[in-house]
Amino acid sequence: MKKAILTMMTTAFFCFGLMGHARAMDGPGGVDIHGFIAQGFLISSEYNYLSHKSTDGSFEYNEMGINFSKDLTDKLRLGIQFFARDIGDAANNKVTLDWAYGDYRWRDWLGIRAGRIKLPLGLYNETRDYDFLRTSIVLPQCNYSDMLRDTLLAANGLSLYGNAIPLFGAGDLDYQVVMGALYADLDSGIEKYSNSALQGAGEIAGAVVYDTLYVGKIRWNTPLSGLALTADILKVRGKVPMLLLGNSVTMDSDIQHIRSGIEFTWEDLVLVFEYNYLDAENTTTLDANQMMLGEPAKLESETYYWGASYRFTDWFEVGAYYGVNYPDKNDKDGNDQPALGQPKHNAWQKDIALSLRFDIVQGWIFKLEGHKVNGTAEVLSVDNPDKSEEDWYYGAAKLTFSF
Amino acid sequence: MKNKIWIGVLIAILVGILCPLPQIAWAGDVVVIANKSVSDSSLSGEELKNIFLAKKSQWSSGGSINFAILKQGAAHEAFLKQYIQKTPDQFERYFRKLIFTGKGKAPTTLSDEKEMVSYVSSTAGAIGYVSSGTDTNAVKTINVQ
Repeated sequence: MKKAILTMMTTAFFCFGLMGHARAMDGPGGVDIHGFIAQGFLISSEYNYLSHKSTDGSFEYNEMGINFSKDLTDKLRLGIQFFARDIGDAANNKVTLDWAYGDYRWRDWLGIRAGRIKLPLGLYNETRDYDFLRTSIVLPQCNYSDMLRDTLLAANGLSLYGNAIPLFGAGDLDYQVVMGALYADLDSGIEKYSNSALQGAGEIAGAVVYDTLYVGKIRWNTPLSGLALTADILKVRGKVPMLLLGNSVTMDSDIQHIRSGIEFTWEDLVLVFEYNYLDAENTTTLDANQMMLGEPAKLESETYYWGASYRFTDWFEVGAYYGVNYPDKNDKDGNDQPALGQPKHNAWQKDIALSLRFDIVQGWIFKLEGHKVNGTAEVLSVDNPDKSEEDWYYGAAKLTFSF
Repeated sequence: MKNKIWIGVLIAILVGILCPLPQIAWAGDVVVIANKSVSDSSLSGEELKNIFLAKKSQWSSGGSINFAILKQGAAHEAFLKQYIQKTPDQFERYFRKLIFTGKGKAPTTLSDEKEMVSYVSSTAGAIGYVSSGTDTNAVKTINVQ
């Protein structure tokens, strides 16, 4: 079935690309069909980043998706999207259900969705699959880790939402609440990411399920034209089976993730800022006797980035951002890192990115991007046993077709 | 550093509260038109914007709103700039975001103003826009406040 979907996706893109179409395809029964396919290239100095072989240059960086949707009535809408991507030795073009839900919009201020729903985290989580909607190739990894992309992308559950709720002269408000469960696909990157964080002391040993998830998000469209402020909170609780120093253990994880964002658009200029704060409490117990291993481990992380993009012409756009990640906000100077066998600069990662976007013809986009990075906090140990270099670089190129 | 971040956020919030610049609501070279069955004769700039961003889907009488846009041209660009505060590219990306997240569909897109008047005059609950010199006898014009 999945091979059939992958074949269908590839064939659809090939045909659409040859025909030069960049608009929706009308399927049988009035079903709207849209899709995209992108092939990227990654190259880096010093460290293998995103792809496990990026220092040699890697084409294992692609994504594709196709969606089908239909308005059954003025208020009821159904849709589904399949997605596949490759990022180094993770994901490997496995076809996944990106989103699939029914949407009943009772009033503009209250609608309900049920199914697999994208999580409205930050400014870009819902649209992170679609690089044709932004200037950069790689989103700021401090806030949008590509290794955790699939895990944090969507949940199975219910959502309530409303739009354009008037604030009596103070602009209007959009909101969304999601309640559900989150199932992490170990092949998608989370296993690799988690095993790196464990630094050889252990590894993920089975399915990771977060059975309780809540997300609340508001977006205030202020009366100042072009200025929007967002805030969201994610609360999630789940179990992570692990092998720790040869013992089977279960980590009960309780995570709270708070984000705030500012987006300001003035004609062709877009400015953004996002701040993230993560607070996690992990309790680990031995499976054999349910004995708790030490006190619950607490972790606080802080990340933020500034970004700007400007569209000079119909076909050319430039963007830049500066992102900062402190995985442990109580160790910003890295003083605790040597005791963990890591250099001090493993306590942070600061990334300056410059992106060029060329809209070649309708539907086709080519991008080039360069990054200057200080620190190794997001460099995965499993692909980079030696993290002694503090400063390093990486670049990316990507060609995308969408319709 | 964290204090600086929160000072920045606070400044942005204060700017948002203290500088409620009115939405530009002058007609300029563009006229907003609607089907004659539509009971509303005027809309606020905010309401008009939310209609064309697919956030407002019902008229005050309860009927469904069917909005349409022009594919391109001076009237299209002027309308987006004056009322939606977006460039054509930003407007297209906004709808592609809705489409690719399953939250909406592409707007009805018409190739010229003659076609726009024809669509609006023949579709219940329809709203669109044309340049000011266009014959609008078959539709009603909406006053944007």
